[in-house]
Amino acid sequence: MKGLRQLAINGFFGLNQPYGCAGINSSGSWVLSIIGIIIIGFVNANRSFSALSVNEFQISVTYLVVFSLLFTSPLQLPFTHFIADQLSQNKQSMLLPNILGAMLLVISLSGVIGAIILITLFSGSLIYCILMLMGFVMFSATWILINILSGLKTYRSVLIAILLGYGIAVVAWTQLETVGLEGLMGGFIVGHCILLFTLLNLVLRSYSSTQLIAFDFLKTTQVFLSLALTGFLYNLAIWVDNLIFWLNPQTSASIIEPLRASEVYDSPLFLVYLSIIPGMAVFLLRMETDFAEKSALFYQFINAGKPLHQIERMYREMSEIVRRGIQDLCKVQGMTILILLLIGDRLLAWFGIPSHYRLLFSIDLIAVGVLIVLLAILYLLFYFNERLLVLNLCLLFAVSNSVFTLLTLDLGSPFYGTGFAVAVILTTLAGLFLFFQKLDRIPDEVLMLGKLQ
Amino acid sequence: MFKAMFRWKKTYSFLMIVMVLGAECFALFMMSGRLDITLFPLIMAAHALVCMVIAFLFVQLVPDDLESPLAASLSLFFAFAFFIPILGTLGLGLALLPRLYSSQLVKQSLNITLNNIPPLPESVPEAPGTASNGSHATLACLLNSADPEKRLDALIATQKLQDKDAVTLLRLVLCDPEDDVRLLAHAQIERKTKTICDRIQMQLESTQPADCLFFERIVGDYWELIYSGLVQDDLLNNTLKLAFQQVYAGLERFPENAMMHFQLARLYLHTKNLKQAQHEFEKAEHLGIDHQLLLPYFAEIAFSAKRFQVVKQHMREISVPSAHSLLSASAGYWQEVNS
Repeated sequence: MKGLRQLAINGFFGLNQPYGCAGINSSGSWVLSIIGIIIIGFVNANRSFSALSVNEFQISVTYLVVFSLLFTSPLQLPFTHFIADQLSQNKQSMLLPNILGAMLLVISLSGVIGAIILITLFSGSLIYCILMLMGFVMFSATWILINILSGLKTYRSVLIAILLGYGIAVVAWTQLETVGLEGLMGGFIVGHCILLFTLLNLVLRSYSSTQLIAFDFLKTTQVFLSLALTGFLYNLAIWVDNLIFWLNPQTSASIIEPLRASEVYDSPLFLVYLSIIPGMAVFLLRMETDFAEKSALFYQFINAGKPLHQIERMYREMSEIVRRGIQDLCKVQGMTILILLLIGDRLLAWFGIPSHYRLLFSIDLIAVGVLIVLLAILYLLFYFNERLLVLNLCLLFAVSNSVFTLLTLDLGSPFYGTGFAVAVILTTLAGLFLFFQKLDRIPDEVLMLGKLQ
Repeated sequence: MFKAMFRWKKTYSFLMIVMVLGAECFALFMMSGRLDITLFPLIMAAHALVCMVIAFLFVQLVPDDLESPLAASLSLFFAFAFFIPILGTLGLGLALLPRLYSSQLVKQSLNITLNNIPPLPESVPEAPGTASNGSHATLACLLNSADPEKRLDALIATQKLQDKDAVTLLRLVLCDPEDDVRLLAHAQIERKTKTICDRIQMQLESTQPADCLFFERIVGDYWELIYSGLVQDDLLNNTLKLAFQQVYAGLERFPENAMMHFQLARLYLHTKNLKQAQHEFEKAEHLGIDHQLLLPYFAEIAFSAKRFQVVKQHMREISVPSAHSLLSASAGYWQEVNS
């Protein structure tokens, strides 16, 4: 909250900064990576690389992103929870050793698993294999660090680190442009390495300790299996439709053995994911400022034994902010969708996507517009510590996305994307219903059952 | 000499890391044209060896006052160096080493000796409500402690409380088996009583003409003795008698003084003359005392008269509990009962 507030009061020229930073950070690690992939494709399309190399490179990076996210997802939420716990207990000295402990765990496991997969499945050049392994390890470590830094609201620093990392990647490509796929991968790895160690430096600068490394986050009392499962299901739900399209031989083609890609499905979806940023920024800014303040006051009033009418007034204000936040989110996202639908053809042409993807682009645009509401609901449910509810919603999303995507494969190309859209709409409606039910129950639960945060 | 050796060890380790890294880069450069998948096991073995050396050298660079289990530290540096070849070592060196030697990372390295923090008496759960309620409850608990030192400490701490709260606590230890505790409690009550009595005496002996402020002050002081519980039994009756005398005398001269009607009403309420108390409070209100201020008294009169519907009505009217912070919980209860 403080971070956003500070950004918000930085004067006229800083007016849009909080929205931009919050939007990009809060939209999730996958949106960050998608921005990276699109920028890479966009920059490389205008350079002298062959289209094949660029395509191979983009697919390689996409696989690195997807599998590193899936691999680290069981650790991301429990570790963020552990960090928040330590901060609330004022045990700041425990953070640094445990962050380094988590880094060791993630790097070692991703390195070993990645090496086994490369040795058994890949048959490309040795340099490409080594770069892929490095990429997988670095992406896995980066997600953990970005999660910690986003949790600590250091939005601007993360954004600067990303711009620095990818900026250096672009510079590296200009030096390595004659080498082909390995050159592209090498430049990207160098840029990403800068990003990783800039983020590590940011984390190291934030805390002090008397210990170098610790593994307290793995203690049974600190591990929340429901959070681990939620993290995994959430990431699986986001990517499962892509995985199904990649694995189906009729909708995908082999790019670099064993990596497959679905040209008919992937291209517009990645572009559409970027539309999530404005809506999420508006929602997050409202939540992290007004809502966080009212919610803290609400629980403070209860703890201080304030009169019921004051507690009820605070609850009403808090609920109002939530409702207004969701309304604003819908308005902003609705406007974004409308504008993008109107300029869809030009946008596709600008990114070099053929015009026959227009229908899929429109379906994806609506689906992602609804997905942002789901993200907001999950965010709010986490705020009220409704872990089980979030887990159930993620499970519903993952299962429905798998089932409906498989169904659309049978129905044919005009229906591609509708599986994802139906799954998102179904989960969002369920989420909205459960969330508002929960919101109405809060005073009873807190006052009658003593369920304090 | 030891310092010089220590510094030499660190410099040596740093230089060795640079050399090992340089050698690996050179080897890779030489092999760059001939890298083949069949050479993979050999390259990995050579790289692992290099990384082990780098990890060992990194461990040497960790400051001695930073607690670092050898196996875990070695694994950390090895993992970075092995899975992110060359770049991992460089990045870790640039990100971690300057922090390891910065003054903020290892706070213990600062040459500061902290004095021992005196042990807290006993952990007592804080009572919900205001801070004074909390400290009141804590001190009450401590005054029942088995340790006479803690009882004595708690007794001294009562000096920070308001007289009414302090006197209630002090009376708890008037029969304490420890002479020091008992005598201190007596002395504190005595001192508080004496301060007020001296003030009354000074005012009575004052040669200034008795205005309304004179009567208000003197009745206020008598009320403090009564309200705080500093006077009891016969002494209380005598104090009440004197207070009534003063307030009647004052009202005889200043019949339209709201404050004195209010003071008289409080005295009536204390002696359970409910009808007269109600009458005097209404008169005080008519003369300008804020209705909100009188609401708790009206509620108390109604409660004593067992007219509970009226109590609810008055408590509901207390719209600003912050004006009566101690009444918040009580007002909340009655409002809830009413709803």
